[in-house]
Amino acid sequence: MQPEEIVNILLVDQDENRLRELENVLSSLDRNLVKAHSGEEASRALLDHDFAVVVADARMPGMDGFETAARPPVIFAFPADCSETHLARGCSLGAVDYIYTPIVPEILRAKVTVFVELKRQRERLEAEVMRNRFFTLSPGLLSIAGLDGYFRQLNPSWERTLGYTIQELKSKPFREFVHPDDREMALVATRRLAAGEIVHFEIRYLAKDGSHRWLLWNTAPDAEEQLIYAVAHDVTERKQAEAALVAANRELEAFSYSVSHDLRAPLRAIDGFSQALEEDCSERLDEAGRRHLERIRSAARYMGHLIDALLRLSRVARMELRRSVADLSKLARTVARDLEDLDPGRKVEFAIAEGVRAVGDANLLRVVLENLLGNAWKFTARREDARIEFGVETGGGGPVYRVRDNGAGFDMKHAGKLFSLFQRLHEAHEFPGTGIGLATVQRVVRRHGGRVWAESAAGQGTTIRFTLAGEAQTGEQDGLADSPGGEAEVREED
Amino acid sequence: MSQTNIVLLVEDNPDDVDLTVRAFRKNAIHTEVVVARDGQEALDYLFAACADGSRGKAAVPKIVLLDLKLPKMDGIEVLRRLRAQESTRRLPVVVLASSNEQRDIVASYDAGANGFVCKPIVFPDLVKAVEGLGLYWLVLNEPPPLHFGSEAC
Repeated sequence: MQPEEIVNILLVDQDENRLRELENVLSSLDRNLVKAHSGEEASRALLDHDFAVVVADARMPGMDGFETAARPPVIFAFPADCSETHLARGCSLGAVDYIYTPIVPEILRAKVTVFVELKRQRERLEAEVMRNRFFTLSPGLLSIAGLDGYFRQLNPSWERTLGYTIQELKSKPFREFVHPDDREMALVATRRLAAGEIVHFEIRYLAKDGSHRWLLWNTAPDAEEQLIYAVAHDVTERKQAEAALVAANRELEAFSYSVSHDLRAPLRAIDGFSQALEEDCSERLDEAGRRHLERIRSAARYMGHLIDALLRLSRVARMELRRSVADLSKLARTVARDLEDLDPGRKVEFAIAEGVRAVGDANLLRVVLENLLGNAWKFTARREDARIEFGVETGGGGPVYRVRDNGAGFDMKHAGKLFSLFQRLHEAHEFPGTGIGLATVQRVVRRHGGRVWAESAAGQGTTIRFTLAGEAQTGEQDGLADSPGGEAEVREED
Repeated sequence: MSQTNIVLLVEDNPDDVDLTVRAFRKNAIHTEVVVARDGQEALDYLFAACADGSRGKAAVPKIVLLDLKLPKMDGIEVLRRLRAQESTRRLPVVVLASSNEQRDIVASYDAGANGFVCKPIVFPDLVKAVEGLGLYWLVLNEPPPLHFGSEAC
């Protein structure tokens, strides 16, 4: 807001005609004029507005009480023939100036203008004092530098952050405080500032104790003054955390890479040489020996599945998310066809809703459907009338996707473990599995900003529901409303 | 020199060597598997076999099966060096890796691999994979002519 816009002038007179006259005289100043017809009205106006000056009729009754509220300067209007005593009394009431009536417009305008100007100067001064306090007290690193490469002003935060005194920081070109590896970047930034650009960048500054601090700079140039106004934030801790995260990710990647290579090789040997033993030494192996060999081989195969599933889980966590509109119905149909091809002996009725779409990473969403439909396929193995359904529920909270089967189901009291790694609710000889699939599903869903939960009862089938990308904020209520068998809930934690 | 069904297997793991050789033996196609235990040995063999004027030293394989994790020099580097040499730059090379990590697949093709196969864990699957490789590279595939360009074609 411009200070000019809020300059108010209060005119006080019980005579409306005289008020209009004052108004006419002062209207050319283009200020906000407020009129009051009594001391009381004037007091109220003073409470409501901030006035640069008050012009009041000195003879008006009730002006005695007016002084206490009157903080702005008052110009009293006196009749030309009034005595010195009257003037003295006016001054004692708080008048800082006076004019005679009838009013000489030029004189009134000149006097009012002086007070308006005074108020503006006072406000400017107050603002400057406040800015100086802000500069001094700000925890941010504030600075003004010249395009000549020297700091002109720095606030005390600099001393705390770098350990140098302000004098030391001003005594050398600022580039000398920049980490040698980042000086080129600082130079580029300064050039762009000199060209009039607003520049944001992160560089390291050297501290007096020999360490360095990462500073995030927001800088704007003032071409006329040849100055740079800059705010820096110490982001050293964030940078260190980022570096640690990158290192941890790299380590994790190296780990899973090594797992994928080095754990598989011995498995190949176990399986391969078990078969070689069976083939080459069969006459020396009896029935029990062959059974033992078969168990070795099946354990090796199972471990192979475990390794592959773990790798998929870690890949799902590392992979870059590429969002697009994915046709979930189509993905579900493809997955269903793959399941049927792998096990053509089974008869399963698939009911896949048409036109279900979602915004997400199609590759990752396919992994979700592979796991959920694959589980449904597995747990309906003992049913003649196996039925697997994929669809979407649209409630108040946005779409909730659903895979439902009429398979073995599970007791909801174990549901809490369902999405944890290596947790299985069925014996391996009943329904084989690795205990990694639903953990993978959960990771994909979470990466999409959604959540996944299950609903089941032993012998009555299972329904797994999931949301994506915060589409269903109120999904919890929707889910609870129709979950007679209870609900295992997995909330978004990270 | 005639190109019989020679396969160069570049593999440092003795278990994998034995299993792969065994898988080839289960095949109907008669194959001679030559083994190189590391990258340098593979390069020495191939440069000797493919170089002009050094005939008879070693037989040129119809296909090279190359592991990626090798001592001294990894498989990708072996591939790069093969592709950098005129005498070996068209030699069919299939990467036979322990995993199907995306970056390994990409790096292999970028370095000029003709194919990428992930070694199956289960032996019968390995036999099937080897059978497929043998049928394609030893029977169906037309290998690049030796020393093309040095003689009139």
